[in-house]
Amino acid sequence: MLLAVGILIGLFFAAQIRTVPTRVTNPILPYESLKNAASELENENRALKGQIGVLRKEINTSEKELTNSSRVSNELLTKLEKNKSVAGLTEMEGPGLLITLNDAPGGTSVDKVVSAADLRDIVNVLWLSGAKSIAIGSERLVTTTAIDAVGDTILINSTKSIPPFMIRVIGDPAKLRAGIANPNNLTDLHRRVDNLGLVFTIEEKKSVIVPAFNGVLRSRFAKVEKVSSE
Amino acid sequence: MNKLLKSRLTVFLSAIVFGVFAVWQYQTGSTMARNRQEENGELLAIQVSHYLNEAGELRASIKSLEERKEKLGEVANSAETAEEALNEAISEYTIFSGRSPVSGPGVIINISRRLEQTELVDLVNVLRSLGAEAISINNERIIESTAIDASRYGADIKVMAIGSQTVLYEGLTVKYGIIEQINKNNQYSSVERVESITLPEAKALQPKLGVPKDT
Repeated sequence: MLLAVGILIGLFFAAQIRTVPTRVTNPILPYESLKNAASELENENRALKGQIGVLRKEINTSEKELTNSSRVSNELLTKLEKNKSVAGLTEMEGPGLLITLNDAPGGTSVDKVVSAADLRDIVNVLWLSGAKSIAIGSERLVTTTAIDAVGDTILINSTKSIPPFMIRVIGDPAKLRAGIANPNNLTDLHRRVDNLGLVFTIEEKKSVIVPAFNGVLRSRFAKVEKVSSE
Repeated sequence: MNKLLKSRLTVFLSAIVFGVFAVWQYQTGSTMARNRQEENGELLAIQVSHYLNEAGELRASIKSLEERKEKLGEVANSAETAEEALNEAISEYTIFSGRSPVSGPGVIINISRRLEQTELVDLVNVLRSLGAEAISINNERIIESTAIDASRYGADIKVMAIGSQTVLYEGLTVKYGIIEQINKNNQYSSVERVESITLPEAKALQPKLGVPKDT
């Protein structure tokens, strides 16, 4: 009896002290609103990127028509095409690899899921191994591409990307594969693949298509010092 | 009798302490769950702000492309203005292809220790994330296909980036940011805002494998 009374007094006493007299608010509402806003904006941005892709194609056609009608020199158009191609605004095709990277089955711990840092490291090893063009999912990597994480969401070119991550890379397949397989590269990733079941597969392909960049390439601060004469 | 009363009193007091701890424990658990939700909400807010920013940039880009398209349509009958329109496009893409030196405002980061490969990759990624339009490391222009090899740079690294001085500086030096990580409790690096810097053109630009798909 004394035990029961004692516990009751203790519960009452502690509950009294720790109860914060605040007015009741709905804690779910702001979270849900943010979630909806994020999802809507994500779809909107995807649509805007589609619009940019269409506009760039229409501009390409107009530029080619100008050259075909001999109003501008072929040399000028070649220069423009070269710049676009190097800037990542042209869809590319060539031999290479198709790499798939996915979370370990049933994995929720940090080591069992693919991180933005994993993708950054793989991409850098691919460039080191002679890659010519790379895309992750539908996102072409260009000079302004950042691969970031906000919580567990990975953003590539500011676009949400979810696993499995399909990396399309153009380059010499043997050299690219050797770079990735080199035990001195991607050591942490290889350890997690071997020990924790992270999915990491590599297929050599005679033809890989890397999409054109559909995001923003707009200069607000940088100015050209001298246009290359090439 | 006295002994019995003493032991009952001990049980009674222990029970009160147990009760206090039970409620304390329960409420701490609830607070932690609430904090986790707040943290998720905070991350979502960051995402929303990121998307809003991106939407603005995308709309501005669409506007500029529509203007270019219109201009190309208008100049269809004049060779001179057509060339002018193409040269404008060449100039803009040149910045992002790295095919020419570029100049503009930005920041200079001086680092006086060897960086791990991952640290240098992360530093370049942070700069891109902060909107850098052109980057160089030890006077070598970094474009998307530049392989970052930290072993090439030694313990004296100078990174330059063109973009908004404020955004770059604040983003780099923010608490728990990349500069704090590089410093590791010592002053290994410093960031300086500059009105104008010039970055060289990139090396090895032409792809040897892979061709534009529609040619």
